[in-house]
Amino acid sequence: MMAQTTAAPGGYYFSHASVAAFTGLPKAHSMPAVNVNQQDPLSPRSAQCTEIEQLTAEPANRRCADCTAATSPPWASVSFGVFLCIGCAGIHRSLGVHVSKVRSLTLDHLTEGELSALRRGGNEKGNAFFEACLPEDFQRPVPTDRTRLVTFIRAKYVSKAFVTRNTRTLTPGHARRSERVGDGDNSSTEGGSGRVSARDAKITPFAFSWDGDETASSASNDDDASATDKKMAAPSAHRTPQRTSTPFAESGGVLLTMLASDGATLEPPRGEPSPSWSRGQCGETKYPYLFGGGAKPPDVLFSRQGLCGVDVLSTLYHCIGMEVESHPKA
Amino acid sequence: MGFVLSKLLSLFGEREARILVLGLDNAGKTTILYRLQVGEVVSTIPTIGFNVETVTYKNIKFQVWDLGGQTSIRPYWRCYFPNTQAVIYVVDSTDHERLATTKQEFHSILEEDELKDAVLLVYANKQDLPGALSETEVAEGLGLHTIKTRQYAIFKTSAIKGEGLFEGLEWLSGVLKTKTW
Repeated sequence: MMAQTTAAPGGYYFSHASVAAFTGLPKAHSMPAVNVNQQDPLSPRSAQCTEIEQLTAEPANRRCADCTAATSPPWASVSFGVFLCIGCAGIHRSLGVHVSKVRSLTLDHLTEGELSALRRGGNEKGNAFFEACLPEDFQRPVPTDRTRLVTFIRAKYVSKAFVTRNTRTLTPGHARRSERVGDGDNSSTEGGSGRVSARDAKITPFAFSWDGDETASSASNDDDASATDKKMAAPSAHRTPQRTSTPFAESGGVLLTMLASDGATLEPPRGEPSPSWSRGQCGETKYPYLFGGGAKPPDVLFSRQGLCGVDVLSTLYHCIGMEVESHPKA
Repeated sequence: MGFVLSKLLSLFGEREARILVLGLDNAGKTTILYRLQVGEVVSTIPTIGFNVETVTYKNIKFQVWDLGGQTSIRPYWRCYFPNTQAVIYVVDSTDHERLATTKQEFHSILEEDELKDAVLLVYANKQDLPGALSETEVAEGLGLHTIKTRQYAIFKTSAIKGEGLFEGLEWLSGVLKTKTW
């Protein structure tokens, strides 16, 4: 490669007030008359802007969902319905739009589906779901430690390493009570016999499936518990004939169906042992080897699509500050 | 005599070209810019404004402007249009949903009078990701076949892997060497 580097200025940033005042632009490049619907494109966008202001005013949304250090995060992942700082938004973007779709709350005009995702999501619900099994002594990466932050975000959203398994199915009755948004995973609504505790119901606001992965096989047996688990854990392109098109579908790969917060009952799929389901295995109970225990890790932890246990474990070890070498040999 | 000298200089000396890198947000513009400039994958944050770097390739000194791609920033791209010799238009090949949007932006660029002489290089980026459209599909999605009056090319690229970028630059330098500005 013959590229030669030359010293050049770094990034230049727009301000709302004076876009024309760019430094380094020749005279000919002074601000022309930009006609975008006869209004300044950077100006507030009335109704949507008001709603976004209301959403970002909620206490949990005032801090970045991932680093939690940055305040007033002006970005959002419409795939997960969480509000992000610009640094974490950059990491989400690097995951690809099939994982996380990032929009600016100030520079993008959101579609109704994207806005709906934020309306129904939020950092509180999002983190209650994606960080349900976060170790209590977990030290969240600081924004300046980007490498560790990348690892954490990948573990949180891609591997779903901190998600409790109890979120994966809904009873038909519950699905009816909850407001379905988007082309949901209709196959996961077959009922079972067990029930989860109120705490589990509280910390599992989403039942969600992936959409758009063409490599997934047709795990469409509605009664198959493992298939349901797999749908949760891995992207699936299987589109059920019953799917309904809603604005949410515009917003992203991950489909979130909010559970009603009325203490509704979650039930496991058939074949899932009730005790382990209802007790909410997670964290040290579920994966003791992650936290110093000696149990043998399973071959595949979270996914049927190549996210092998070792990879995920390495990720987790990194996140909780342990060396990969301390991983018990399988 | 002076004409001959300037012609010789243009043939053997270093020429400068002003290049704009455009495309929707998260298409990979900044990653491409720094992949071309430093040859590495840098971790990026969304570009609010622009980045500008100089890349010298095949005796052409490319002044490459990477402009932010968020919805509200796109109207300001035109601030940079004058005196531009080439546009590198970057498409996220995995973002199927916004193919229509990127087509719309692409064609609005084509209609700009100040870019009527600019050469077009399209990067169908993110080929390393699953579900990426091929360059043929991206070309169809953008409606490239409707372009009749200017030189253009499309390359499939992966800024992360560093594939296809310099092949595109190779084509661009070849075309620019035949042009005068």
